[in-house]
Amino acid sequence: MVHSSKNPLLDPAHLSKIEDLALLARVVVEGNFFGIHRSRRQGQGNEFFQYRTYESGEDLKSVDWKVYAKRGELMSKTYQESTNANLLIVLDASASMAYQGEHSACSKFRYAQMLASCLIYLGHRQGDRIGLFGGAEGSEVWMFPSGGNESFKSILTCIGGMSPQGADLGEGAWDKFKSKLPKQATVVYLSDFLENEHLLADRLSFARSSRYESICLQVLDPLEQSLPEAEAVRFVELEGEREVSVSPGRIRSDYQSSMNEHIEKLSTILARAGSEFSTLRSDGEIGHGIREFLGMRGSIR
Amino acid sequence: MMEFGQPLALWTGLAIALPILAHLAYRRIAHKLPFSSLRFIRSSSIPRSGRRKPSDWPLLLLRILLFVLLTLLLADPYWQKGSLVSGESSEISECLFLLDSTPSMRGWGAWEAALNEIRSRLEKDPHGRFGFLVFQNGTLKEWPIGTSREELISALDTITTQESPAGLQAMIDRAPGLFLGGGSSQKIVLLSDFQKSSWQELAGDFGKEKIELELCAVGHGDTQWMQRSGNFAIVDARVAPGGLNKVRVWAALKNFDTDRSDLNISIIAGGEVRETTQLSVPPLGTEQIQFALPASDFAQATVRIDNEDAYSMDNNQSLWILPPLPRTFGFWNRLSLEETDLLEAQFLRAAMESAGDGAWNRWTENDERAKELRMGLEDGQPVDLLMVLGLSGWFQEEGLAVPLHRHLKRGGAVLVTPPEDSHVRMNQALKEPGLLDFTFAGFNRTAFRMEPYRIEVLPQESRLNKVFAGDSVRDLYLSQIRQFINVEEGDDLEIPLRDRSGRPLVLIRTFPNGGRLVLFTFRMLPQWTDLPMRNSFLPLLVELGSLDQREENNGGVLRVEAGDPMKGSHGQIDSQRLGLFQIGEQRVEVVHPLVESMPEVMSQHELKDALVGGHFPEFREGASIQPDNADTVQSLWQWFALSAAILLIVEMIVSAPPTVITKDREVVNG
Repeated sequence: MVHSSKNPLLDPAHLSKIEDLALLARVVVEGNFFGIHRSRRQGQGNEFFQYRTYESGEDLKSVDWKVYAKRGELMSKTYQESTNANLLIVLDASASMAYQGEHSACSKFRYAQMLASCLIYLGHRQGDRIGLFGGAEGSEVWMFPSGGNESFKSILTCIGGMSPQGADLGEGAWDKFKSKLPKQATVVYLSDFLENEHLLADRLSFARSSRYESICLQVLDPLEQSLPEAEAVRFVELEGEREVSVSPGRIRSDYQSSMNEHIEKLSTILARAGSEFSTLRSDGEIGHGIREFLGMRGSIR
Repeated sequence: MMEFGQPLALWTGLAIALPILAHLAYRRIAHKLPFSSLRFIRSSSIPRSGRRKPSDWPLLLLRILLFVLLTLLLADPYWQKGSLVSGESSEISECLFLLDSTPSMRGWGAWEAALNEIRSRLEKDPHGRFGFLVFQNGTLKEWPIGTSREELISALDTITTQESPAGLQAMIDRAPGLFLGGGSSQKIVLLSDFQKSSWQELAGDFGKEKIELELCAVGHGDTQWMQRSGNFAIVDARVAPGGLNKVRVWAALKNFDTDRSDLNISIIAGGEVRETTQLSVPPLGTEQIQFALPASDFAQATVRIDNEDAYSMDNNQSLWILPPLPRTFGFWNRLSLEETDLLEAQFLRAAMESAGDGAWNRWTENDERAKELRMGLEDGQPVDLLMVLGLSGWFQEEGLAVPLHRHLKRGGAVLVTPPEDSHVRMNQALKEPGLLDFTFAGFNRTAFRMEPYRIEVLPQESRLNKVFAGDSVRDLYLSQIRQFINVEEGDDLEIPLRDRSGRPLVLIRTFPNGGRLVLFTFRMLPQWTDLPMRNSFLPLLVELGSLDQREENNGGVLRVEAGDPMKGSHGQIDSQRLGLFQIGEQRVEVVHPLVESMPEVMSQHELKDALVGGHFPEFREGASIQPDNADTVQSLWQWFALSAAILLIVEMIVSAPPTVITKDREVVNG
């Protein structure tokens, strides 16, 4: 796990005020993670990347003669080289993700949105093809991985347009997703993983293959781990119709131990499925999540 | 000051404990909170907080106040100005007892209860001034307000229930005038069984007089103001000829009870019980019974119910069983009788004496009385029907117009037939003294074997239509009239019969006192007409002379209910007491008033409407009616109801659970 010192610029309380997810991702990544991630490979790609001073010995093909004509200076054009790596973000937008505890600055979903944006930005920076799968039952989103700025922008727009509602994605959608996976990919699954853990092994069955790497990041609200402070509460389930009246003080310890057991069980299931797993708190720094991702990706590679 | 119509309802005030207990055992309201998953949450009991926080005391006080208001509301609060409860000895109340003494008070223990109630009230209030009003023997007996207690108590021993239901309205009208006006309050205590028939037509306005009225119902048994039961009554008893030397006594009995009852009915005559029969009378039903008695052995008989019941006055009824005295007729003829006069008299005599149904409706000739009348003796008993045959000059010569006129003025009936000739003299004899206004205009006679004169069809409005209904009128139309005198009628004459040419056949003048002078324009002889031989003759004669009005339905006996005003031929008859009376030759039966037997009583509201006048808010306990005076009594019910409604709304607003605020912040979209 990678830990960072407290940086207010990475605090979700501040970041959630930035509406533009691309801007948010750039601020986070460029401001805090410059140099940490691998730079984009420059070479003989198709997509123009930047100009740089011509150095002797270089192929004269790279000189931009129009610039030389204007400035009298030899400048080389560099091109972005495609990495052939695929980054697939799986974003759970079921209703339970809408939960926001009274002490949290944003909901779990907003946190996951911001984190996903940052990861996408990172991937984009290093030339990965980015794809998106997610949503909720009845409103699933599937964008096959592709590179380039347009793809980057449209994925962020798509993430920004999602809102948490309805039940978890069905198995049909997952089967479709698995059938259309590229030959190799890094799959980052952002969810609260509160239900259906028994289905995870099947959903992430591709992760056992060496061509895929799978990272599961669980986003939880702090109050989901400790229950709200109140003498009497009638809980209404966000994803269902159920209601239950409790005195949180009386069940807190039982609840916490059940939740811990659940997280441990999740960890075991996902480890068996060949997936990395980490739990993030929605009141924690976004940078924490990014570091987890980078650390895991590094460990996988 | 505030008083309560239903003070017992104040016990519901114990319900104030309910909100207090509810607040002590307050259960926290669990606010709704959306949560991601209930998977690891098991339901748990919500702790009771015990006493609520001080901030909830206002709500508790609000609820207690609401319960207090509801309690007071149920107790029917009203505002009593002035003082019914006289705390100071200087305030003396005036109280007038009105005692119903109608016959029904004798039943159901009402009379004794009423007397006891008056005695106890007199003893209870030593400072009050009391008066007493009761109807006795046809007059109101008054003991004015201020009469000493001892005098009033001794007066109670002298009064009795009456046999006639009269006097209640007079008592109600008189009562307000008996107050002296010096006391702090004026009150009438009306003691009665409030029997429906006695009270339903009475009216008073004590509200206008500002006199408090207390209705004290007696004789209602355990259930006040409910229908009473347990009475049997003889509702009617009649006598009729029952064959040879016998009379039938017939009686109708009513059972006012809701169960079938077996009654023993006896007939008493000559001081002995002659026969006793058992009769089963259905609930609320009527049965009839008959007894046979020898015709002339007894003058009176009494039918009696031997069973005991709640009201005994209607258990026997006495009746006259002697046949009625025969009615009389007489003749005036010329002194030198001719054969035609004799024949006509004989003919009419035979017709009259054959009238009636044997024993009861007999007519006999009384020549004596006719002669007394002819001689002008005024004190003699007149005949019921005087027949003046062949009236002509002799009538004038004897000066008979005066006694005849006198007889008619006294209500007598006179039948006149014309003479064989000298009809002008007859005309003079009747017209000149003002007996009958007509003018002789000739003589009509049919020739031998010619078609006789016939009676014209009766006009629609003719009173003879009552008698000659249906086929019976044909007999009248078939009558042949061979000769009659032709007259022109004067004013104020009734012409009940005309011939087919419209000429009068009968002229009638009615005198103010009911006397009737009937002039036939033909003689009752075969050569004049065959009418006397026809069946329709007697009914015609009875109707034209209004002779039936002199008959009494019950064999010549006058029957009245006690208390009813009654006029006999000998003047006003006192009908205050039940029983059989003979005044002159008139037999009278004063019977028990049937309505007094009925067990129904008035409802409080009917009495309120009748006696207080107009609307009165509510009855108070003890059925005391206070005068309809807004200054004295004002119901607070609506104010309490309004306050309770307002408090209830406030309570609902204050105690409503706060709206669930879900922190459902919008996810900001990028």
